[in-house]
This record gives sequence, structure tokens and C-alpha cells, in this order.
Amino acid sequence: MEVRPAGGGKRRRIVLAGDWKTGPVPSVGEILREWEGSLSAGTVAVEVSVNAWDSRLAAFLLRLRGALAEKGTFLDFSQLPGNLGQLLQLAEKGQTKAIPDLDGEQFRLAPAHSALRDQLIFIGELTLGIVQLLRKKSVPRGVGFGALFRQCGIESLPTVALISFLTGTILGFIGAVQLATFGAAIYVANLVAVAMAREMAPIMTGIVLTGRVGAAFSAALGSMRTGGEIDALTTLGLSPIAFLAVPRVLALGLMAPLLCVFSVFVGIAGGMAVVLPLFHLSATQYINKTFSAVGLSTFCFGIGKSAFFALLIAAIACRSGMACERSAAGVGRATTRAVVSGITALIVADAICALLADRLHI
Amino acid sequence: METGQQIQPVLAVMELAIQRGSRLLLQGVSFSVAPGEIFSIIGASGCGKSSLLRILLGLDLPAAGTVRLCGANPAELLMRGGAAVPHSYGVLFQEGALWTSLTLLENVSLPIRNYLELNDEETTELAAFKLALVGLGGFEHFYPSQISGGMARRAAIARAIALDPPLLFFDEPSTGLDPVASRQLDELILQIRACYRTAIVLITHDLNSIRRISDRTAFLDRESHSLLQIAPPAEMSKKSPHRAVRDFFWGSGLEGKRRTATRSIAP
Repeated sequence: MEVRPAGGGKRRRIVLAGDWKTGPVPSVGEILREWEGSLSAGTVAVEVSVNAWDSRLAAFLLRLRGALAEKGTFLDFSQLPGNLGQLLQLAEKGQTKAIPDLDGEQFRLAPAHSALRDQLIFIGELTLGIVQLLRKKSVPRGVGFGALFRQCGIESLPTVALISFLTGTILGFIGAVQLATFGAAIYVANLVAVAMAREMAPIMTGIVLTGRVGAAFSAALGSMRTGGEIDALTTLGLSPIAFLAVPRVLALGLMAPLLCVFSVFVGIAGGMAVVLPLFHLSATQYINKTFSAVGLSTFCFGIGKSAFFALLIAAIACRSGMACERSAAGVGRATTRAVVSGITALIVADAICALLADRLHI
Repeated sequence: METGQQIQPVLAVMELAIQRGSRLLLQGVSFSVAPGEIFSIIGASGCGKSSLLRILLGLDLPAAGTVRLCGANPAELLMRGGAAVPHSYGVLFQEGALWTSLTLLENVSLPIRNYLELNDEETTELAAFKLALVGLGGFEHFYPSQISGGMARRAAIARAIALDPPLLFFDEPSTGLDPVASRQLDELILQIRACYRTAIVLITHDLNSIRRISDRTAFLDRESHSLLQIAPPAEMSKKSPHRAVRDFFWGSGLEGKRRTATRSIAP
């Protein structure tokens, strides 16, 4: 790739020669430093006698011309061979498309919304929708509650079972090893039962539901938005929140406590499965300890928490899906946001619940 | 349809300005659509047709100007929601936008079930009737993913006319359809107009379709960000005073430029 000024004294021509299809393109900055003072101001003709070239040559010429124009030297492309000149003209034509900016005083500009504010507005609308549904004021007809219950509940059972069982075994094993040093291995029953009922079952169900159901809600609503299905609802005077978000939030809010109860029992079973054979404890004793450790209030506290978490997760997932950008990448981002914000909100809410429980002596 | 001294337009747009982000897309757009009229809006891609449609439907707010749809502001109409919306207008969205989790029959019967006081049997009967109108009798229990693009468009029309609105919006109805399906769709649109006396606003860039069915056409110009001309399509294509309109109908004189490079040095 060769490029050099030509013509005597103050140079009036630039010649490009050689193979312009392979090798590195010369740097415009270096060329300018090299040529410092050797080019005359005014118009300079460009001659191209290369034996092979591709679009890199055209891009180089445009860049060179821009850089030289700042120094008062203007390149003349009229001598270029036919299709190269045409290519440059085409690229130039595409660059000069100025679009007038809006005059802010003449037109009202759309207000910028913050994500938190939007989320709060959404939760408000959701609450209104749920209240309307409960007062039977506007029962949306044609919502498939059955499929939603199945998706949230039954289809989540295997995952919840696996995760809870393993959580129970981990708790049981760690607890028993520590407690055995004091000869108090049997108290692992209390540890597993209280930990599962109060904390682990609601959190683990919450995490499984965020990943399984929250992501699915967000992706489904996001692709409905991208495909115009949500606009189609709106333009039929049907509220997308009442039709799409309220049923999903309710389904998850109703299913999560049931899954949580299930998770508590599976978790306790998991703890027993690992502790009994390893530490030679009796099953009856273990079960007695378990029941004496978990009072009704602890049990209900855990279940209440899991319902609260589920409402939170579903609200975040639905809002993230319905506010999705209209593109495939937008659906992906909405789903990611639903899962990440969902799990974060879950843990934050759990911390707040722990503080509250401490103050209220639950 | 009444023939009073003065017919109220079903859709009236006054001095509308549209923005996208902080850029101006269109300004000074005014037109009105009479009952039973097929009014098409054309223009090069990117001129703001779809943005204009979203504003006419009340889904977005204009930067300036007003829209009156059956005497109401569409944005307020949508905000209130309820039966007034589908009784004012119906929409065929691009690609149909049918609810993919429902069958065709359920798609059409959803507005009927929510707004008309009918029992299940009557609802099904009415929805099946609308599907038969658009030529989809027998496909009631298919899902949108199981039918072709042209059929999805027809099903979406059946949903749009579910409550017999006085005004229909069609967003690019023929995009992606073969010429035969496109012609059949045009015929269907004409028949719907004839049967229901519906006014139809057609957003399109299909010139053949415009020539076949449109009463009047509005041309949106991307360069000047304005509505250049409103005229019957025949008049517009023959003797428009605007170069942009003539170019749109007849191409931009590409013949003159179609010469091969004689001094090519490309390998």
C-alpha cells in the first residue's frame, strides 16, 4: 500500500499505488506528520493507479481528505477511476443527512421516567387491578388461570423438591458435625427445622420461582410487547395489567406458600436422611425434637414471607416484561433484569423481615 | 348511514407534530376521514407512518396538535379503557399481533366476551361468524402459529371488526404477502367497507393496493417532515405538483443512472 505526494516543489498531486487489498492501511496521522509542509495549500489532485483495492481504500481516502481539509488542503477526487469515484460519492451522500432538532419551547418533550418510579406506579396499578378483581368489578374473561397455576405450582415441584432436600442435608450435616463436638447432635433437629421453616424454605422457593417462573413471565410478556399483543389488548380497551399481570401475580402469590410448606417438609426429610445414619440418632426422637422446635408462629411466619416474596418477584417480572424494548435483545435484557432484580429484592426483603421479626419478637 | 347536511368526520387530525426521541419526525399534519371512506397514508420508510398511527390510536402522545376520533381524544379514551375503545375503532397491527396463546376463535371472542352481554354459545357463534366473514371458517381451533401470515392477517381483521366499530386502522396489511393474497386482502377490505360502512385508515407502501382500494391518499414526506399532499391516488400518481410524490409513484429516474462503470479498475 503506497501513498506519496508527487510533482515538483510544492506538491500538487497525491499518487496511490501498489496493492491496496492486503497488508495494513497506512495511518493518516503518520502520513500527515511525514508530509508536513510538503503539500501546498489549495486543491490537490488524487491519482489512483493501484493494481487491487477494496473498500479500505475508499475509507482511507475519505479519512485523508477530512484530515487534510483541516490544514487547508483540499483533495480533488474527480480524477478517480469510475467505480471508486462513485463509491466515494455514495458514501458522502449518506453522511450529510441532518435531522432538525426539536425546539423544546415549541413542543412538549416526553418526560424522562426513573425505573424506581415506574416500578412504584406499576405496583400501584397492580394493586388497583387486584382490588377490582376481588370486588368483581372487572373480571377479565378469557384468562387461563389453570395454566398459570400449573406453571407456578406443579411444574415447579421437582426443582423445589431437589433444592430443598439438598439444603436440608447441607444444614443437617454442618449442624450435626458442630453439635456432635458438644455431644448435642440431636439438637440438629431443631437447627434444621427452624432454619428451613423460617428462612431457607421461603428463600429457596423464592429463588427457584424467580429463575423458573419470573424469567418465564418476563420473557412471555416481553415477546407479547414486541409482537404488538399488548397494544392489541390496550386498543380493545382491555387493561394489560388486569389481563396479564394480575393473574400472574395472583397465581404465583397463591402457589408460593404451598410450595414453601412442601419445601419445609422435604428439607426436614433431607436433614434426617443425612443425620440419622451418620450420628446414630433415633427417628422418633428426631421428629419429636423437630415438632417441639417449630411453633405455629414460626411456621406461619415463613409461609407469610414466601407469599410476600412471590408477590414481589411476580410484580418485578411482569413490569420488566411489559416495559421491554421492542427487539429480541430487549426481551433478553428484560428477562435478565427480572431475575437479577427479583433475587436482589428477595434477599433485601428477607433482611427487612428478619429485622422486623426481631423487633416484633416473632 | 345518515346523509345529514354536514357529515361529522370519524377522524380529524389538526396540526399534529410528532417527535422521536429529541428529533422532529413530522409537523403540521392535518386531515380528516369521512364515514365510509378508505383513506390511505403513504410515505417512504422512516417518514413517521407508524409513529403517526400510534398517536392516532392513542398509544403515544403527540408533541403538538390534536386528534379527534369519533369526537373523543384517543389517548383519553385508552386511559379510561372499557367498551368505548373497541366501539370506536378496531386495529389490524403489523403481522396481525394475534394473542399467540389463544386459538383464533378465542382471539376473536375475547372482546365479545368482555363487552357484549352474551352467553357462551352466542359468543362462540358470533366469533365464528366473524371468522367466516374473513374466509377462515373451519380454522376456529387453530393457534396463530399454525396458520400462514395471510391467514393471521385475516384473523386479526376478524378480531378488529368483532364489535363493528365505525373506524378501522390497518397497519401495513399487505407486507410480506404474495400478490394473490394481497389482492384477496384488498377485496376483503372493500367488502368490509361495503357491508359495515366502516371508514378505513390504511397505512401502507403498497402502491398497487392504494390504487385498487383507496379513496384518498395522504403523502408524508421524510425530507420536509410534513404532509405534502392529500388527493385521490389516481390524481396523485398522474399529476402531482410535488417531485417527492411523483418519485414515490414512478421511481426516482433510476434509468438515467443505470450505466455500467466503463473505467473500472476493480479486479
